[in-house]
Amino acid sequence: MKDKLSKLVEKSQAAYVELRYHSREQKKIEIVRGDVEDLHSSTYSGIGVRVLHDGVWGFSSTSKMDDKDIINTIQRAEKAARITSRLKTQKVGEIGDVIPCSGVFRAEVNDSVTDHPIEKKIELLKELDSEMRNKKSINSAKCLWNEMQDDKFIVNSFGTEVEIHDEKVDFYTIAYANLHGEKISGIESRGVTGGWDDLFAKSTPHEMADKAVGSAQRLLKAEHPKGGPAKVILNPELVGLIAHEAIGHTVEADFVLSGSVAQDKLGKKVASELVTLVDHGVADPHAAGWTPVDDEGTLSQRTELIKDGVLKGYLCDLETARVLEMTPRGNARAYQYSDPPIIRMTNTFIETGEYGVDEMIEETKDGYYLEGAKGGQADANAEFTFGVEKAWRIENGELTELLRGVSISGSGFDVLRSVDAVADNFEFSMGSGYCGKFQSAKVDGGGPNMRCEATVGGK
Amino acid sequence: MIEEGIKECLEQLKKKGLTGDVYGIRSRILSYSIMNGEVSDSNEYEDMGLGIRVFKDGRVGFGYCAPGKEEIGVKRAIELTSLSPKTEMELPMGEKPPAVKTYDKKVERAMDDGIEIAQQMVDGASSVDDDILPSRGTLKIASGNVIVGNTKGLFYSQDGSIITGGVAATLPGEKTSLMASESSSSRKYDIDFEEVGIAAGERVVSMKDLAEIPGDKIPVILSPDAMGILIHFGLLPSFDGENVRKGKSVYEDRVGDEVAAGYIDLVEDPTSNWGLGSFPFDDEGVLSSPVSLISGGILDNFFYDLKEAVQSGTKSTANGVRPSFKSPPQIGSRNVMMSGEDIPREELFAGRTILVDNVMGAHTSSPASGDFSVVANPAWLVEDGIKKGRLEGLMISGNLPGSLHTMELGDDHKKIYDSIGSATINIELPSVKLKDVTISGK
Repeated sequence: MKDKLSKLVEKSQAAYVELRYHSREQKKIEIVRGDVEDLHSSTYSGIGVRVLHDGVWGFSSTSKMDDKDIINTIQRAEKAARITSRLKTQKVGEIGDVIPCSGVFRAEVNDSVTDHPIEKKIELLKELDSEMRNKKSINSAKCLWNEMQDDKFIVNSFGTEVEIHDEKVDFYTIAYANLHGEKISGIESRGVTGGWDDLFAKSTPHEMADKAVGSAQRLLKAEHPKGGPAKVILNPELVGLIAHEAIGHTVEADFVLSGSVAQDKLGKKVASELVTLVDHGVADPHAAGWTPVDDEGTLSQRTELIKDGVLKGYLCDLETARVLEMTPRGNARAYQYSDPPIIRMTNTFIETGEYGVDEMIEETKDGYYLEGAKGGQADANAEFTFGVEKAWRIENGELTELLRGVSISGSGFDVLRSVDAVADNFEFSMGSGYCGKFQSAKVDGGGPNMRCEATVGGK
Repeated sequence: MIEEGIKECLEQLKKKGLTGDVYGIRSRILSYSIMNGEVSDSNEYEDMGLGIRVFKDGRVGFGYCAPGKEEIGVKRAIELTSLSPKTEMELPMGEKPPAVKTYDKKVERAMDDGIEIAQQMVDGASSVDDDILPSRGTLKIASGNVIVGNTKGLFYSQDGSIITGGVAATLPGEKTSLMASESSSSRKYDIDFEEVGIAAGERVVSMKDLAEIPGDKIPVILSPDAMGILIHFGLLPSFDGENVRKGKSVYEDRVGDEVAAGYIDLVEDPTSNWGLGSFPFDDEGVLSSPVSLISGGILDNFFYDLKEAVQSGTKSTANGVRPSFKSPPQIGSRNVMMSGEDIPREELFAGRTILVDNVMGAHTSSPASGDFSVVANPAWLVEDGIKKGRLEGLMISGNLPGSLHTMELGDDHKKIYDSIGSATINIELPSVKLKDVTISGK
């Protein structure tokens, strides 16, 4: 396939052509209260074609693999570019001196999940579901399994010829309890690049189910917080969520050029000097956002977005890197063959500091210790709101009352400016989630515990 | 090609003595992006595939494939039946579908003028103020055909079209840039996209001045866009028949009770001509008909697909929906409409109110209780209909099912079509005034 695509690249008259074959094998299992609620297994493949013609991008895709169909798809992409070029004044210039990339990249997989029959996975999930529902106060449970095996070949006009073989898997255990009609949930999840041993390297599936049950049981006795600004200590999952949602999106070059809050802030102090924020596709071989080469064929490199509180960079693709005079570092990603590559994060995190977590809590007179994310949303001005799974009041340096139904909000950069302590622990813990900027993407995020100020919302 | 694919799948199932249904879609989608003040790039693609559901020994299996790969798709679906639990379900017989208008050929023709249409949004936003940058936006034009067939001889086919466009207008602010957006969607080519751009521009201009968040409790008016998102996450899950049966709905055992003010109706009507979620049949071939959820404030009914209808001892309400051909059917709303006694705008905005145009974090609402706590942005303090200043860092919280008893409805009905994460929001409703919302913020 790679050789075939390389030959077809030469058939286009466009200044730049990129052909991406992408095949995905996916299995999804959902067990709810002992029943198989969702079970499907699928394979789909196709070719995404992107051309740069008269300074304008055009994209098209096909699920048919004959030479004739691929050539037709190239022509459709060229036509799309021609039409747009009628009105576009800010043409994409030369993409620049891009070093062609070649090689075979394979995810580090310990005990591939494909070697475990689907029957075994269903049995495990049913067992966990039953275990959780047999525990005190738990009236319902859910277990989810989602695995993807991807094979890609990327070729382009620069002579790039890349082959990528990836395996990602995520797993959820959720225990539900009922409090006067209100559903209380305890969630434990993990998502990785890798196999069975990598997924369960930190906790066994049974330990995860136990934790989910414990969370739901404890939350049954929790009260709602009072709303208002507060000192908060975020756990690594929430730190990752702030790094990704509230800051990361504002430094994506397409948003920067569209007037995000990070525009004109390069070289300026935007956070406490304790904060260094990084995106890196190969920061950890098992982080869920593992992306050795992006879908434009650019090798992943570490990007320091904020260094010691100063904004140092943006996340770019080939086009925006040229506009902003930066180096592309592997952030142009497409979820499936029918999606064009757009600027995305990979693994986004805040670097460790020197505080012990206990020390951080002891120093806090009045505040909250927040753990676990329940979804987040942010806008181009870095305004964000996140649901929090568990929150403890901190009173005179001690964790006291457990609270539920908590959310936090604020401006991402204001929150980072208020950081006064960064811990010495580190964890990637956002791997079971997806980013949804126009198309899905598997990403990861994390960091150490971090103390800062945010608005706490309650009932 | 889709039609032949579905027939081929059904033929294979019949030969094996199995029952099942097949959902097929072929759609052509053309999209244009707006970036940094101009139409930036375009993307054209065809989405085409078959979703196959097979019943064997009382168990169900699901698979999907591209046309031409029917044998693989059917084989995969059959294999999965052995791993599934016993499922009782009766596939529908073919009848005459209701006539529902869902396709406008002018939408398909508009694909040739897509770039000019996208440009109208850019021009509209720019015309409001020289400093405005139409920073981001999308125009998407789609048309296609959906076919559902089953081994009982049912075979329905219908064309559909949709055109949807939105633009974000950015204005340099003192501390940060101000940004506001507007969008509009229709199954017909009847949208004035220049007006969409102008609305985004005027909105961002009205964000320049700041006001203090009121310390007292005053009514909050949610725009159709803001309320549509809240209803989707905070109210509609309580109408899901499965949630009701499993005790995860505030409306369990409450049919016939007064659950809203007497002037409020909530209806699921996929037979409404040109409704964004309208279609003569659902994604498992059940014919559409209007379903009253709340009528005159009284709770009437819930959403059911074929599977849940058996579990709950009732009939499907034609609410078996699929996010794509790659997913088996699941319960979902299709074309929900909220209506009632409309109040003219001057009356709705009388006195001091807060106007909220969009909310963030609605997906964190409790689907079981309807409790919500969201960031309201943009939001303004309004006095007798005049915006007095933007409210920065405003959070609002409350309980949506509770608010139904006292809310008032405006007269500005809008069809909302949005997507947040994997959720597609599809509701027609007016602005709504809530009187029991807690306000907090900086």
